[in-house]
Amino acid sequence: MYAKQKLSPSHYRGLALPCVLLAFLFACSPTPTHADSLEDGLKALALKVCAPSRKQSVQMNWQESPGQPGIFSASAKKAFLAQLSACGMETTENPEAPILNVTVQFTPSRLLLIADAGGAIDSRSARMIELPRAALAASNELPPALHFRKELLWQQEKPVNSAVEWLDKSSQQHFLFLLSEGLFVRLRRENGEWIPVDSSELPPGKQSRLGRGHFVYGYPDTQLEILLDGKECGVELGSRVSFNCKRTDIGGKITAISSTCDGTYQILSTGTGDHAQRDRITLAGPNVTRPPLSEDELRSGSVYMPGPVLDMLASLDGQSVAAVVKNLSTGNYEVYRLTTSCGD
Amino acid sequence: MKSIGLRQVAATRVFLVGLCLLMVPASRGTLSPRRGGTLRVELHAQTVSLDPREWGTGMTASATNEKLAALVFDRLVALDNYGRFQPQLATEWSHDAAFKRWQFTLRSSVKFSDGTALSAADVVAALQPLLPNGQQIAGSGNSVVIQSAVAVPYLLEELASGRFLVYRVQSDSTLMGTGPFFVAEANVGARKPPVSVSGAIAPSHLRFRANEEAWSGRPFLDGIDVTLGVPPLRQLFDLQLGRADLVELSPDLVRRAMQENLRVWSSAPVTLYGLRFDDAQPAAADAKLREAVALSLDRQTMANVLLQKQAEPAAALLPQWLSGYAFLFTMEEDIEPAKEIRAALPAHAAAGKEPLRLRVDASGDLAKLLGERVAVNARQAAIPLQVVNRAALRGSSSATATSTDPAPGLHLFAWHYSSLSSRVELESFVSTLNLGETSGSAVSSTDPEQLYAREKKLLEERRVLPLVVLPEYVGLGPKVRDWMPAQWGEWHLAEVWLDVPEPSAEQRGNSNATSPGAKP
Repeated sequence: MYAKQKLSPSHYRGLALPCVLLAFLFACSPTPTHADSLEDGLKALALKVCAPSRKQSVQMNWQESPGQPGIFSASAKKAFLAQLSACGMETTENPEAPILNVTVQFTPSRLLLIADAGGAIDSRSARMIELPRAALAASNELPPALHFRKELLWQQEKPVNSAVEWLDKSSQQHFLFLLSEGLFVRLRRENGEWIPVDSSELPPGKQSRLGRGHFVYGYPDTQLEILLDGKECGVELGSRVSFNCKRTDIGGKITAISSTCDGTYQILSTGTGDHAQRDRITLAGPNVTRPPLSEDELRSGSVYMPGPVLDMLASLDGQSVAAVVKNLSTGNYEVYRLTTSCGD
Repeated sequence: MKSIGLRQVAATRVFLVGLCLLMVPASRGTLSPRRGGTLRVELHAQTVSLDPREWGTGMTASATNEKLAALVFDRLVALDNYGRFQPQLATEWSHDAAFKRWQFTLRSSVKFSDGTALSAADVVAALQPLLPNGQQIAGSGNSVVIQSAVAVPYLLEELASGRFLVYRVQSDSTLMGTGPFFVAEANVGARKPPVSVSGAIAPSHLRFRANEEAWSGRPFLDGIDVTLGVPPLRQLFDLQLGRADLVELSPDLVRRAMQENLRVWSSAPVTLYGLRFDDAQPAAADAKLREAVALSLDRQTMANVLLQKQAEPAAALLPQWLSGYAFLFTMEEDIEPAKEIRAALPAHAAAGKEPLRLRVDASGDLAKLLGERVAVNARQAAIPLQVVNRAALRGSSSATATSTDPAPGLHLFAWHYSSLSSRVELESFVSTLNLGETSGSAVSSTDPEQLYAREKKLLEERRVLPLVVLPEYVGLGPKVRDWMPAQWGEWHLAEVWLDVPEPSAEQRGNSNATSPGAKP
């Protein structure tokens, strides 16, 4: 067995091989659900619990930490109990039976599944299984508010600077474009999933802690452009992506959305927190200068995001906004589609 | 969703472009980091050493050294707040099935702060003196290989923490790094080369400047000015008065800072205070006496009263956040059994002829207070215990002890957790405190139960008794943004920025022209 972990560098220099870029794309695929690895871990833990023990019945006590509610899914619990049962250990509601506590604990890089029977199983009393902590994908999202919908389009571990949904008029194909670690990444919608198409290196430039580049629309042709190191780079979307850059003074992003209720345009604003805080995006009304004032307005026209909003860009038809968020629970970069509804 | 016609699309374009022009400076979402400014940091330490080769294992001073060194030097890998290893100077890594051979591919085009390129030879030269015995590092091309005599499944945790920083030793013995900052001035009135830093230094100020060529991108701050040797209360006042942006808060000042609505951040518990028995005083060798002392300790009072709830009673040697299993250990506190055990001991064994001597090895008032409390607890169990200061027992626990020094039977120590590998940390603890032979199997095993059993055995022997664990506390000024430290205490100051108006080019030029060492 040969274990290997490959991680892409934060930015590429020169022309990288296509296979490297393809590898990057697949490395960007959504992280696996935690059920699989946790289930495997719980099965292994059950084997450890019952292997040296005398056959007996135990009361199960699943202990979840407040920060990780629901971490033991029904299927994971079932897998654990099935494994216990297979080796002759049954669970019971009998209060006289010894209690078997099962808990998950986190260390900086690992998570420990611990079965602690308080001496009921054997003298060592605690059985443990260790898993990579990164295998767990956690989420503490709050449900979206009524008048404002968010939909997770994409998530990846590598930083995303900017994102935009794009409908190719000639082919009617639906794309999601990302700027990530010096790459322009194309994803295409197929059968309800985003399929990586290719990625192209952005024109060379200086690395920044904020990443490089943000999508904007050029004027007056509404061509997709990237603001990159003080340059305005037109994007040619052919079989391969190419860029045409020139100096510019423009340096902002567009944050507006078309209301489906009355056809007016609503300004989207975020909070004034920094990158260490969760953010919420608020419909600030059609008046650019007036922020929402009342709590009612905030409640009905806000949607909480799982981390700071790094970038927002409206679609060309103004009906949706792509927002890039760093999820503070998972550390992943996520792209959301935001749309408005009339509250029905 | 209501459809929008072509006319509306055109109107949208005009609207959006107009909006773009209106909102150019403020249209980005969450507050965007701003470049510029100098972060003013005040620390209690009188001296610092930025040379990782000089850092002692477990020393509390190493925590400060490590924070400042992390500004200048990089690691091969880092661990993020989500349990994922992130590329730093290494972009790829792999290991063999036995976890004995690890290969790291180095990032290309990384430069030291003087503009010279980082090579595999630099990494080898930097890390070889830091690696434990049995581990060899060799470089070739753009990669380095660490070969170990035993399995090291947790090598990444090890390399992502502690002293495993990459530096280059220059001809004048000063060190240079590839990190986001470099030391521009390390001593008022005693200039040093602007891109280098020597080992142990005792300046009143350290001035760091942004490394424009940092591979990770220029930091947002122009610089960081660190003032050393500032007493805790003075730090609090300076924070209140806006004369400092980031200060260390001693535990006794945390509540006060909170009451005054200052921003306070606390890490996970990173410093352990504990007792270590020393057979140099014969009474300490008695297992029953050790048990009586252990049972007499009132850790709750130490944490809740002495430390005003800014510490946690410790039942384990490794904290919960590092081991994951510390909660399985329970504190044995019961004064009545302690009295009974003491009463049953023969007079000569129960420190009858002379009191058990406790030497407070850890520095600071807090350690003295804890020592006094241990003495009070012991006396409640009828165990005579005398706290002696370090001057009275100068050198007594070392090979240089004189025959006239009374040997201590007990030491009060402070231990700073520096490794992100619980296995490495426990073995360092055992080795440094002379608690017995280190266990190679505990370090090389991937079975957490072995580590748990190892720690459990150490606790059952009662040669070392944990007392309390303390977090680090930091007070932050209102302008400090994107403060995103690691729970284990890394400050990540390269991500921090100051919420102040961006200086004009002219102001920036003037700022750079300030005289070295001057307080901003």
